[in-house]
Amino acid sequence: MSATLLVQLEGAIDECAADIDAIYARCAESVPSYGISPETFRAALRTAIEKYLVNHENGSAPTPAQIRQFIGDLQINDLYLALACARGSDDAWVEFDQSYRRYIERIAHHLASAETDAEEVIDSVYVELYGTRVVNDVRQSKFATYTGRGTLRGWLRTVVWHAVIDMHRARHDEVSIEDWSESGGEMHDRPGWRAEARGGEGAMVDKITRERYREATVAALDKSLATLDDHEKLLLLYYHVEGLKLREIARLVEEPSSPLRRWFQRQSKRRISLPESRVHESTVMRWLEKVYGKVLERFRSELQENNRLSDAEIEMCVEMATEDLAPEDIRRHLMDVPAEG
Amino acid sequence: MPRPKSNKESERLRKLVHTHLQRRTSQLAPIVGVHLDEDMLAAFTGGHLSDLESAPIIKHLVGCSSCRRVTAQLIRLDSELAGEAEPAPVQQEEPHRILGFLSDLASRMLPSTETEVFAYHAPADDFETKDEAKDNGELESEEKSREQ
Repeated sequence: MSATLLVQLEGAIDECAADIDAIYARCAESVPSYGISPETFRAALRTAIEKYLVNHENGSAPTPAQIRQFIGDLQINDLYLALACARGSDDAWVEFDQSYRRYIERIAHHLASAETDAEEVIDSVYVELYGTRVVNDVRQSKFATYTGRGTLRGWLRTVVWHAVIDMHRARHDEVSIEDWSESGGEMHDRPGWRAEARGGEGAMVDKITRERYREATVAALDKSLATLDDHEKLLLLYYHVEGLKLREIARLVEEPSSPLRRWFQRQSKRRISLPESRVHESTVMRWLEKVYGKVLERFRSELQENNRLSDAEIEMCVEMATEDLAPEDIRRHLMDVPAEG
Repeated sequence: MPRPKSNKESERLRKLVHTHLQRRTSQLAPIVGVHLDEDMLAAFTGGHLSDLESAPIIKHLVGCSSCRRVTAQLIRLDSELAGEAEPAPVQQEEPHRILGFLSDLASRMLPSTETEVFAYHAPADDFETKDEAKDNGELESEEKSREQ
């Protein structure tokens, strides 16, 4: 972080000192036995502020108003508990164990497979939370990485999930991370566009025509998708590439504060009056259809304006593309990629 | 906002987008370097981030298939857990007992001198077989259309 940015950040945090102290006072009063010092609490909030609110790309620090909003939205009780556990408070660990052990067990048992023992996962999670590495006489607890931005429950779900993955990797002679994550992403010979029929002048002309339309279609689709907003792209990727179901996407956006939900609701006049209402699968489908509509419009205009194709030729492009991407090919794609069937 | 003219056109476009995205993302080189940590993954999937905070994360998820796949798995997990009954809280433990137990457990599992590297844990396809098995038979019509 640049010196200027650092000064701006510190200045903005200083302006919020009274708010931070007031939150600390409430926590300390609520559970005095945790023994968290004001300095530890402030340091934790500063870490969270820097992590989420400093824009390193354009070098901008948050305003005091943004910091106030941010600390007001933090899961302060969860953070206070995590800080106390990180510092080894007996009372905090008892509270944590009582409140979250069953949840950890539930996730571990849900994810455990024949080769991954749930009990072993639970032990390893507890050990990681407790911390095994000691730096300058301070035990490095995993809790120290929790900022309070999400719920402790959600964070634990991620920690347990990763513990299961780690255990699986350890038992499979450690593949490289990228090989692992991209195992569905190798450059297989994808049979999307079928091989053209061989032989004859007509076939050759057909091949050239198809190739021309193919290139135009792919380029136009690329350009159309590139013009979408990141929220729209992510929605398409979750649905079409990661294979999330509509109800799973609806669950992702069930929180009224969900950034994806807020973005799509801002695009829709219809939902503004009911921002807190439940997002159903049909709503997600509507969002998707709107995105398809945008893609189609830009796809057509790209082919018309830049490729000078007529409506009939555009139809042919779409027709060819969808014919060539016949169901059996799509199924083969789906078998190649790590998405649900 | 323009919409596809008919169901047939919409369906064709959906197929086109589906296969195009599948092919494109499979051809992209994976992002090497900084990935989202557990705190960010949890905050994003929990829907707790403001626009200011979520913008760089959403941008990252669009470009990084590894992190996107982790979030998809977490969303799926959350969805599956939502259908299960909530267990009762555990009985209160005796103070000092938990820390003693943890200290003992930690010393047995890992030597304290070991230098741990909290590397990014990339997502695996491990659960897919399980997921697929679970999901067989419960595909909804919308999802089915993705395969056709």
